[in-house]
Amino acid sequence: MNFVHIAHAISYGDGASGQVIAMDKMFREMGLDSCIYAGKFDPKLGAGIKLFDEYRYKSGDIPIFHFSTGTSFVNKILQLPIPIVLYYHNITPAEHFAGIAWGSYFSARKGRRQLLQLREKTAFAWAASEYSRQELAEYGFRQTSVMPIIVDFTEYESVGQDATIVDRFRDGKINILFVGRVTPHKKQEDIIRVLFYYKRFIDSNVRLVLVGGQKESYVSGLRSLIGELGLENDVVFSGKVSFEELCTYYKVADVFVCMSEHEGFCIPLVEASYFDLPVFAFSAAAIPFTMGNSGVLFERKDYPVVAEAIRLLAGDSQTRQKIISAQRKRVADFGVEKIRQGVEKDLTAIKNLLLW
Amino acid sequence: MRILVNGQELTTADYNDIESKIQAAKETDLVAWNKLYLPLQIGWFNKLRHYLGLREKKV
Repeated sequence: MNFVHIAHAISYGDGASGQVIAMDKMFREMGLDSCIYAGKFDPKLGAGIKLFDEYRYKSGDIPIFHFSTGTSFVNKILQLPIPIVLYYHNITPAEHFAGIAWGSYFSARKGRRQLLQLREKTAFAWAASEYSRQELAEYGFRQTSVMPIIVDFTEYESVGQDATIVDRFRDGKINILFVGRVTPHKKQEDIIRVLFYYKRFIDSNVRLVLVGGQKESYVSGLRSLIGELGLENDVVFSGKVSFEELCTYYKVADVFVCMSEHEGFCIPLVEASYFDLPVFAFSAAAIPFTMGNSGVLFERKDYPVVAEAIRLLAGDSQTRQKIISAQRKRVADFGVEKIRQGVEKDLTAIKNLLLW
Repeated sequence: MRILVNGQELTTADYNDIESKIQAAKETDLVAWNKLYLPLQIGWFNKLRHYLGLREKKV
């Protein structure tokens, strides 16, 4: 029995790609045969990853297809001679991209259609969150289970910190942080509005740091909003960052604010919790499932309420500590050991379904 | 709206605190307050949508 992880693309710093690599590693540690094939991959991650065009099915192979966006690569999966296991990261609803990023819009629409095609090919499906698992069930997938994104905390323990970031951001200002691609469904514009209220009505000694790669058409809209609100000196776009830089941003931040309207899991929520940042998040898609009974969740978007809640809850040291303690407990649910226990049960079901 | 802190709803006293601060802020500077709701204008599609008075989907 050989688990073959297959992905359309594997790139550095991408959550879905990270999960492919982490699952492969976990399977090997469990004593299982496991390998990775990808349609394309970042050469930096090259060791052990092979091009999918070189893949030839062998008896005993169990293909696990990692699916997160619409792509013609799916046709190759549909042509495999046996049923597959699907790992579903979720697909952002296309309407978030309309008028801003048409390429992403059409990929998302295609992805939803392909999800239906993959249903017939799938014997067992894993989802990154209960939110995504419910979506699979609505699409008619019969055998489904949740395998959360694996976060290897040992990597965070050993990383150093970037002195330039520490010097720049440990200056006495309150640092509000969000980590994630600057893209329409993550709604960075709403965090900018929260910042505007906070700065004007609560404390002017504040800034917003937006960490993540950028979608230019959306960023230009954000920049014009920032200009209209007079926040040119208060919002920092980091662009794509190294792992060391990412961890340093978490260390220098005071609160983590997420107004995203679609997440299949949202690794930064777990990372922020790991770094003891109180999380304030809009309760959308997988976010309440990832946070569990921890952090501060809002059921509606009301910028003044979010800003005043940050003042009230993060500003009070006792409450802040309670939030951080609950988040620490939640983080433990995403460690490799905990996830492995759940996976072992699922593997028995998969073997029964696929190895006849 | 409901605010959950570690899975528990905020106390009435906390809701009242937030509400009173917001009311005071609104009365302090209504011009700044209104700026909170400036539309984000990106791309011709959204500009057209805004021009036609079609609002973005409310969450």
